[in-house]
Amino acid sequence: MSWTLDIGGVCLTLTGADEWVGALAQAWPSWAGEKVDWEVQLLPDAGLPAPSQLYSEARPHFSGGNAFLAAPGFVGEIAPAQRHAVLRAHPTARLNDLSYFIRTVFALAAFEEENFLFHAAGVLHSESAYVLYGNSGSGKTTAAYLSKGKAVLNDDLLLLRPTPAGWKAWATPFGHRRHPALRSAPLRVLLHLRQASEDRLARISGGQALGELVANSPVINVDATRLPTLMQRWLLLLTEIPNYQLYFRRSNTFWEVLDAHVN
Amino acid sequence: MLTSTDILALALDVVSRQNEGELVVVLPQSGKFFVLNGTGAEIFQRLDGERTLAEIAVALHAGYEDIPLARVQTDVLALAQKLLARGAVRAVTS
Repeated sequence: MSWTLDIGGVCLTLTGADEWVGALAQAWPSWAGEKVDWEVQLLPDAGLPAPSQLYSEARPHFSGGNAFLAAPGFVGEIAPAQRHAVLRAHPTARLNDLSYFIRTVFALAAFEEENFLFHAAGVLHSESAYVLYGNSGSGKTTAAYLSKGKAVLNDDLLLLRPTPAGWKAWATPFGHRRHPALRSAPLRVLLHLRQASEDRLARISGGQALGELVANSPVINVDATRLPTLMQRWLLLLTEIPNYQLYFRRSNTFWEVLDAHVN
Repeated sequence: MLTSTDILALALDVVSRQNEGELVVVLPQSGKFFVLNGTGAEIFQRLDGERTLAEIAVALHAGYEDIPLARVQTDVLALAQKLLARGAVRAVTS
């Protein structure tokens, strides 16, 4: 079976076991595409040991330009130059495990097309995407949840891509969403989250800003070969998009601060 | 514990980039980063695997003559120790 995942025009064609590809197509019905670009093979392999940990605990490592993602029960290899990836997994692998591999491939596919997969929540406000980012536990999901009445592109992973009209934030299927019909919006501002006892917007130093953006660029930030280009692209984006530190308390009142300071 | 006779070099895969007067240093092994201010960046960039920490302190002191050399030496050693602990540099010899 074959099915194509299309996120903002970055397409991965999944092939392999009918049961797995079919389940993913069923999980992400509104993300079906047609353009054949990257191929991702999902192959059951009963010769592998049964998984003893979550595949998502595995971290990619890079060698010779390829990425490798291995854990007990899983052997994944991604070859960006060939736009090809293959995952051999024990037949008991779960959908979340397969999704984690696809997400890793997608990060590389997006990067090859000069986009970013970014650990961030995207919340729509005044028809623009306010992108809230930070490491796990920084409050992305909380801030998105607290933004009542606003569309959430995703509360964990976004695709950021340049267009002739400027940068756009795109929804991804890798996380929770609200108002799923909405797929993208112009990127208005980047906000590094920090939970605090008051709502406040602060300047973030150039070095800290670049470091935080890189730290929240999954997969690419552990590839020494691609890191210099990643940093250069973030610096270019920062010439167009403002970036602040947002201190927020567990309330939706931070939007008042944003309205007052982000035009 | 490092001494002023130690020689350090940057870790093989460490990636750094200057932005607005600060140096961002990223460690691909973990995806983590740290930021060095101007002086820290000057020290970091002198860790070339050839000069001892004492020689780096002397070279740095030339630009900060109002600060006692002993203080510069202490600062160089302290930063070198932190960088080594973070895996951003490696000892070449001592």
